[in-house]
Parts: sequence; structure tokens; C-alpha cells
Amino acid sequence: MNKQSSFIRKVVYAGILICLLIALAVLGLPATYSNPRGGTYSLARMKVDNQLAQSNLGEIDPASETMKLATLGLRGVAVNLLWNKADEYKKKEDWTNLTATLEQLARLQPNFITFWKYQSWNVSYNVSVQFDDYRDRYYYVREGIEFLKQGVAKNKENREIPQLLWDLGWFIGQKIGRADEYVQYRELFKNDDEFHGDDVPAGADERDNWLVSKMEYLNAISAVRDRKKSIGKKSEKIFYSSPAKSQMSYAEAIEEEGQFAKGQAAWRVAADEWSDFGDLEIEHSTGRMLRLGHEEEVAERVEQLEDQLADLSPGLREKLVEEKREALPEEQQAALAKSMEERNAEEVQLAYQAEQAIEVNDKEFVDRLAKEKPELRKEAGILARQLVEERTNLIYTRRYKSDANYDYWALRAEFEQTDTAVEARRKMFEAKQAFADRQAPELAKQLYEEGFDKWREVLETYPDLLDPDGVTGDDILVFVVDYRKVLDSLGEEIPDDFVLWDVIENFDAEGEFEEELRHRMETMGTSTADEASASEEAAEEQPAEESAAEESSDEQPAEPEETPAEAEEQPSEPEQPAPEENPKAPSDEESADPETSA
Amino acid sequence: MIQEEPLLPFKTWLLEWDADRWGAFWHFLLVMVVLAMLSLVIGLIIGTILHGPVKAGERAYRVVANAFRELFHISPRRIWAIARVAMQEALRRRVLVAVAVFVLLLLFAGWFLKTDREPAKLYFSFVLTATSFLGLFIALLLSVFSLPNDFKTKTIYTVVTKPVRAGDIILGRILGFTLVGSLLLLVMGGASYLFVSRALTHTHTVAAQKELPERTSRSDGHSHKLEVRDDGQIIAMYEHGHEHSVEKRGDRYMVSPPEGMIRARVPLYGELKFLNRQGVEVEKGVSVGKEWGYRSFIEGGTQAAAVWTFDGINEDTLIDEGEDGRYLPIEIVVRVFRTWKADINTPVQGIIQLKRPGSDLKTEPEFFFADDNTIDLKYFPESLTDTNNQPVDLLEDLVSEDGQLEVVVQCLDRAQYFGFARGDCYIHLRDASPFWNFVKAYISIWVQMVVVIAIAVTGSTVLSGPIAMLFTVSFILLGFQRDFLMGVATDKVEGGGPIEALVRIPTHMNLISDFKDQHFGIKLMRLVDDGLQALMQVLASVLPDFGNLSTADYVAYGFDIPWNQVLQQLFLGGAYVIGLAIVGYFLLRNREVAK
Repeated sequence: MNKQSSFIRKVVYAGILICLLIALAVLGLPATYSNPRGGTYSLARMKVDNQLAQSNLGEIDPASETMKLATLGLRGVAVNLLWNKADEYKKKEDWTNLTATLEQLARLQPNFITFWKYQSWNVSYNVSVQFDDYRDRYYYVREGIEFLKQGVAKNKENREIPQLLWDLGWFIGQKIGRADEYVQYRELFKNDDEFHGDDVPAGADERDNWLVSKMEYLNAISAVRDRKKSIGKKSEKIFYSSPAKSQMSYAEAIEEEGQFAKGQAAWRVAADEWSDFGDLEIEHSTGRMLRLGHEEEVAERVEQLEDQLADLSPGLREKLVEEKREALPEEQQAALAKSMEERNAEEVQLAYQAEQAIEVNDKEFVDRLAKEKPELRKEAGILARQLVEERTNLIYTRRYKSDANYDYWALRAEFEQTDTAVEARRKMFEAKQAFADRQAPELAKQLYEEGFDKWREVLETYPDLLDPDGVTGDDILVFVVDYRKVLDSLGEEIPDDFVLWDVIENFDAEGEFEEELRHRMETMGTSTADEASASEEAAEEQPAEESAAEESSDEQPAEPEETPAEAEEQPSEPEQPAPEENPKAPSDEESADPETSA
Repeated sequence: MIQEEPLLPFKTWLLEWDADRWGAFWHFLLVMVVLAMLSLVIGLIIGTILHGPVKAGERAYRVVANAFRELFHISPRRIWAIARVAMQEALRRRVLVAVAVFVLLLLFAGWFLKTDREPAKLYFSFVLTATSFLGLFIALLLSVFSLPNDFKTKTIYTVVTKPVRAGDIILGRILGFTLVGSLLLLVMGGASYLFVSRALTHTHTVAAQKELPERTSRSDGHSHKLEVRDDGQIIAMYEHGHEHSVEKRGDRYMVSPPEGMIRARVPLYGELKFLNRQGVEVEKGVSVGKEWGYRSFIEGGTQAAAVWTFDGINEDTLIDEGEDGRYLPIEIVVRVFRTWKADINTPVQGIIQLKRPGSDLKTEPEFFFADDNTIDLKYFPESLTDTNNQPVDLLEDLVSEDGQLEVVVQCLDRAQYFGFARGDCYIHLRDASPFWNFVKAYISIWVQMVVVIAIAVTGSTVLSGPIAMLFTVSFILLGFQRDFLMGVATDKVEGGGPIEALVRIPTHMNLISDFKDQHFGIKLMRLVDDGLQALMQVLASVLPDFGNLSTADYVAYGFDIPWNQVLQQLFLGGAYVIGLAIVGYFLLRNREVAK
């Protein structure tokens, strides 16, 4: 009996074992040549389908796999300890052990994108600044970039790879090209054989940090376009405008180094790329597809639709306005009846309110139309809906354009190609050289003045450049500052007939020319008095206009976007400049007299 | 080298009698006395409950008297016999596999270690940490299961029927396992040294051409700038922690193996004080806002200065350069902090002067460009000139009667700062042998291992194998985190005691903010915490500070480990062995078998 029951028990155990083994075998069927995705229910297939296999993500690293296994399932604990250690090493300035710890972490969590982003940033931006010698700083900037590259190699097929590639472009472009020591960094980067390898000869254009950065941005875009990877929460307008921006920075940088012919050509490329960017369909966070370069077309369509709607019942809108006007309180009617000049402050307010009140929106128009001509009701409804749609598109397009500073960059790329602009820049360059290297202030002064004449021409042709949103005015102001130094050395002052006073007036945000401007005001007393009264008048008109603007922005469809989504675009750390253009940090402060800063 | 706490002189460390710090010996004595009293009281209480006070007293007396008698009957021959058995047992359990694991680790270490700008530092840190972890782990496995196994298999009964005393068993085991462990460490040490020196050695080539090329070839991730010295000697300049000498043979250049890669500097440290911008002596300089308060800073272009006072300067301190006379070799590390960028291409400037303590006699300032975070060597010849351009003699005039000398460093550039810690300036007496330095580092690992063995053997007298292992592992882990434990116990670490921390985690409270309402629950929590913290403080005071026992940093940074340090550690190890052996003896006696 006892023997028998023990035998039965063993058989049952064996049976259970076999069942489990069969299940295991089915699940565990590996992928083979004939059946590359493994069995129908196998884990191998799930791995492929969900892109979880290491071979689906990027390079396979045996060392990494060994290390993961060696932690015996305690990878999370090990990673935590190492992150803490890395923080500790950073605090205690032990850079050797910090980089060694990061290497170990990279083996343990090679497919965790945030790790690469965070730690490469840490090395490139936070560790590098700890050094006094710019060569040491550059070394760590490059270490961070190399680290990011390593991350890219290990995550080639990762869904989030465009973000790493974009970061790579950003580091190579911005960290090298926009640092205080960008002149040295760019030079070091160009001569960095270790980074570029032997394939690209020293001094080649392919070694320019802006072009390398552009290439990485393009890789990021191609990963999205060709391999359907995700850009995550990054804003598309920034993502897709980056290559063209890098091209412009490249053109800007080489012109600053005195390569004008090349620079002009580079601007030409940049203009094309910028207009390509304008043609590109960009997804707004609401899902709408926008094309930044096609604002006018949308505006035109809006106008057409408005006309079509009005044509359905000519005179109806005017009639509605008239009805509303009659319904207004008397004092508003009276205020409205007066001409602009005759109104006093109170009347201005009243007239403004009245204008608001008598405006007829599309809904009112369509409702009335439906009442009066029921047969047109359907058509009117369709038109009105289309109108709302197109208006929204227009508003979003305008907003995105202003975020990307689209018009300014288009204009910039256009004018920089002109011979006049190139000539203006060349004169500036030569003047600077004449003053700094050759100690010839007279020559420098002459060159500056010739150059400023050219700038005047440019500004006449492209008056929008004086728009304070752009940076060209700031650029020119830097030249004026240099010019003033030359004049100082000659014991002279900026002459009254200087051609770029308007640039000084518009762009002297730091108040560097305060004295000169005051002096000028005094000498030109009469004319400025006139200007002053004119501007007072303008100020009086302003409240009405301002509130009108506010009102109209209220009308815009509610847009839940911008804040959360935009905030995500910027890589995590606070030190980073906004991804929008941030050309050359003004270094004037730094070169200021130490005694004042002490 | 980073030295957050200066090393105390041996005598002070051992015997100092101060309100703030008790010497190690007194600390040891206190722990032993408290422990003895505690066990006596507990023993008496339990005895009284079981057998009444008279019997309990009698028994307690017997135990103590017995212990003293046995102390004088400890026999080295018997201890050795037990030790031999322990060794045989260890070898039978194939501990040598550990060596294979270690060698495997070294074989693949190259995969994980990136050659950085300081390869020696990285490699030494790695091998010493790896050895110490693996060594402790093996020591643990070796010693923790042995006694419990004997109990389980009942072999202990055969042993105790022989005239062997409990003390012999404990000491014998500790000795046996220590010997096996030492053997393993020896092998590991040899392999490590070989690995590091092999990994660091490399050479470069120099293209054979008429003009000397600017740089050597790239190898091991770097290349050197070539320079010809005044005496015609070609040098591949300092890079990645070393240089090479280059010899020209005919048309070809021969590059030597790396020089100065592995070093063991013997420094003479001084005491550091600061002068503030008005020139008044202060304890610390300015903080520039770094999280790590190790260095404090002096402002440039003011009277602020860092002043080191060195003791015991005499003829032997100077190095003799033959015809060139004798020099005082001062090495200094400057940390530069700029509040404005200034000229990116020009380093910040400073001056260094020697000064006679207690007088105004100073040497003419020597200007230098600060090479940030790098050891910079300054030679001061015997005959110098003072600030009035009068000749002064280094030993005669500048060193005071009691052998003291001051080194004054200032920053010249306005609004720029120099940062210093005590260990950033020292007199470089000589270079010791890097090999012996490495051996000394292994001695500290050995001490750690012995302590672990002693803990494990003691624990395993009453605990079963796995439990004893957990006990020892906790001991080691807490030992590594001793500072933190002490911080929590004494409220130096934010976030309260253990229970409070446990409440803060799930409620997502930060470490600083206080609990809003102080109701009964909170008060109870604080009360329990106070009790736990007191316990933690007691525990922390007997824990070995494993973190401080490591001397890997000395080797990694290229400094000689002072014998003082080694001696302190040896004493510490000895104290643990003695203390734990006594505890172990009583515990084992308490078990039925060993009476």
C-alpha cells in the first residue's frame, strides 16, 4: 500500500514535470534561420514583436550582458548604488572615478535613454566647467559627446533614438559653438583627430562643429522619417528646424573667421533649407498639420471664405451692424459718431466698447442668414465651419512662426547672401583686424565707416531687420562698440551724421550708449521735441489699440498646448539656454573692468 | 591627495586623553569593561531567576575564575593543531576557486576600464577595491560555516573530548583561516601588481626624420609633445600621468617605457591657516559655493593668503642635487576659481614665498601660473633673497630655532580665487618604493580580512551557519556605512531616526520639513527613535570603520602609505581579534559541548 502510493505520487510528479516542460519548450522555442521569429507562442516572438531583444535595440555588447548577469538579478540595486557613487565622485571632484562609474552604469543600463541624456549632459556641461584650462574643459565636453555617441551606438534601433541623436547635434553645435570659449573650442574640435578619426582630413569642412551637428540633426530626422522612430515630447518645429539653424550658425561662424565667399555660399544653402523647412508639414500639438512657410496662402483662403460667406447675402452684415449700432446706449453712439481727434479720454474708451459691441461674428451672421434665407442655411454652415478651421490654422501657424522666429531667419538668410551684406561684414572684419593686429586706428576707422555705409544700404533694403526680435541689430551694435573704441583711441566721438543712430537707439539694451544718446538729444533739441509730442499722441491712442489686441487674442480658440509640451522640449537641466536662437552670449560683461565687477 | 581628516600621530591616536576624543586604547578598554559588566549583570540576573542569588554568584565566580585559569593554559601547540585542521578544511572546500574568479576578473577588467587621463589611479583603485571585496567575501565564507558544521556533524564532540579548551578552538580557527586568507591575498596581490604594471606599460614611436617631430605616435589613448632639453636629452612631455625619455640612435628614436607612472611620494605635511583679505589670521578661507567644503578659497589681489607651517625642517629635508646645491622641494596643488573669465588663454597668476614663523622675514615672491588641480613642483634653493633683496639662507635665516618654516601662497589676479586644503601643499621628501607601498595597501586589506574572520568565528559559536553569515554581512555593511550610522544616531544626518525615516518615505515628506501637528503618534515615534538612536550609537562605537581601513587612495594618487597608518590598522585589527576572541570564548563555553 505504502509502496504503491509512493509510486503513484512519483508518477504524478513526473506527469506534472513533463507538462511544465512542454509548456516551457513551447514558450522557449528559439528563433531559427527557417523560423526567424520563433514559434507562435514563443517568448522569442514576443521579444521581436515588442522590440525588446537587444539585437532590436542596438549593438550587442557581451561585456554588458555579462555584467547584467553577474548582478544576479540585483541590477536595480547595483544601478542605484552606482548612481549614488557617481554623484559622490562628482561632488568630490574625482573625475577619473566618475567617468569609470559612468562606464559601468552604461553597461548595466545601456537602453535607458534618460541615463545617456542626463549623464552625458553632466559631463559635457557640469564637469567641464570645473576646469580652469580651456583645453581641459574641451576634453570633458568631448568626453560627454563621445559618451552620447556610445549611447547612440547602443540604441540604434531604440524607439527613442531620435532624441539622443538630436541631443548629439545640440551638444556638438551649441556646446562647442556657443560657449564663451567658442573660438578655441571650434579650433580644437577641428583638429581633434581622436574624434574625427583619420577618414576626414584635418581642416576639412566636415570637421566644422556646426556641420557635424547638422549631420546629426539630419540623422535624427531620418530616423523619424525612414525608420518611424519617435521624437517623444520634443516640439516638431524645433526638431525639424535644427539642421537649417546649424547651417546658418555655420555660415555665421565662418564669416566671423573671415571666410566670406564660403560664407555667402553657406547662407545660400541655409536659405534653401529654411524654405524647405517652411514647406514641411509640422504637427501641431493638437494634431493639425501646419506649414510655416505658407502663412500667406492660409490667410488668403480665410479671406476667400469670408468673401464667399458675405456673398451669400450681400449687405446682410452691414445691416446687422446697423441694428446693433442702434441698440447701443446713447453716450456710446455719440462717442462713436465723433472723429478720432475729437474724442476725449472717456469717449475713446466708450467708442472702443461700442466698436466691440457692434462687431458681427460669423455665428450671428449665419444664424440670421438661416432665418432670412433658409435655403442657404446648409451652404452657410459649411462655409462657416471651414472658416473656423482655416482661421485656427492661421492663428497656430502665426504662433509657431513667431516661436521659431521664422520670418526673421528667412530674412536673415536672404540678406546675408547679398553682396552688399557680405561686403559690409568684410569691412567690419578688416577693420577689426586693422585695429587689433595692425594697430592702425585711422585705417580701422575708415574701414568701419565704409562698412557702416554698406550696413545702411542693407537696412534700407531690408527695413524689417530693425525689428527688435531679430539679432542683426545686436550684431551691428557690437561693431559700433568696436568702432567707438577706435574713435576713443583717436580722441574722437561718434559723429552726428553717423549713419546708424537708429540701430543704437533700437538695440542699446545695456545702456552702453546712454551718454552719446543724451548728448545727441541735447544737440538736436528741436527735432526731438517734435518727436516727443508725436509719441505722446501715439500713447494716447494706445490704450484702445492695446485692449483691442487683448480682446482679439481672447477670441482665439483655446489652445491647451504650449506650456507643458514646450517645457518638455528643453533638456532637463536648467543651465541649458533655450533652444530658440541664443547667439553669442554677450561677452562684454566678462571683459568688463575687473575692478567694477569685484 | 584628498585627506579629509589628517592622520593623527600614533601616540596621540592610541593614548590621547581628551574630552573630545579618547585614544583608541581607552576606547577599547571602555568597550571591554562595559561588555564585561553587562554580561556579568545579565548572567547574574538570569542565574538568580533560575537558581537563586547564592548559586548564581557562585556560578558567575566559577566562570570568571575558570576563564582566568584557562587564559594561562592557552597552548600554542593546541592552537596550531586546530589551525591546521581549519586550514585543511578550508582547502578541502576549494577556496582556491576564489583565485580563479579573481584572475578571471583581471582578465576581463580591460573591458570595463576605460583608459582615462589618470590610468594608474583608475587601475589601482580597481584592483584594490576588487581584492578587498573578494577577500572579505572569501574570509566570510571560509569562517562562518566551519563551527556550525562541526556542531551539525557532531565532530566537535570528538574535538572536545581531547584536552582542548574553548579559547584554543576560537584562536585556532581565527589563526587557521587567517593563514589561508593570507595565502589567497598573496596570490591576488601578485596577480594585481602584475596586471597593473602590464596594463600601464606602453611605448610610443617617433617618426624617423631629420627634424624632431612635434609629437610621438598615439598609443593607449594619448600622445606626447616632444621637447629637447638644454642638455640635449629628448623628453616626451608629461601627459596621462607620466613621461618618456627618448634616445636618438642614428636616424631612429627609441622611446623608453613610461616614467613616473606609479609613484609613492613621501610628503611632509604642514598645518594650514588662512589670512583674510585684510591680512588677519582666520581658520578658514572663503567658500565659493561648492557643495564639497574640503577646500576653502583665498581672494586674489588682496592680502588673503594660505599659510602652511611645516615642522622639523633641517638639513635632511633638503635634497642634494650635487653641483647645483641643495633644494627644498615643495609641491603644491592649486584649485582655481574664476568669478570672471578674464583672458581665456592666460592662467591665473599667484605668488609663493617662504617665511620665517613669528617674524616678517620673507623671501622674494616667486611668481607662478596656476595649473589647476595638478601637482606643481617648486624648488627653493638654499640661498635666496628676501623682500628687500638681501641674501638669506634657507636653513639659517628662514627656519626658526624649533625647525619651523612657513610657506605663503597668494593669488594675484583680482576677483579670482585659489582654493586650498591642508594636504594641497607639502614638502616632497623622497619617493618610496611603489612596490612596498602596494604591499602596505595589501596589509590594510589583510587587516580587514582578519577582522571579518574574527567576527565570523565569534558569531558562528552560537549561531547557525546562514544566520552567522547574515550577522557578519550586516556587520561588514554597517562597518562600511559607519559614518552614516553615526550621523543618523547623533542627528547629524537630516531626516530623524529610523522610524521617522520610515514614515517620511511613504508619505513623500522631504528630509527637512517638520511634522505639522505634534500629536501623540509623532511624540511616540520620536521617543522610540531616541531609544533606537542610543542603541545605534552604541553599535557604531564598536563597529570597525571599514571605509577608513582602506588605503587604496594613497596608492591610487601615488602617495606613500605612512607606517603610522599601517601600525594603527594593525593595532586596530589586533584589538578586534582579542576582543572578539574573549567574547567568543564565553559564548562557546556557554554551549553544552565545550564545558
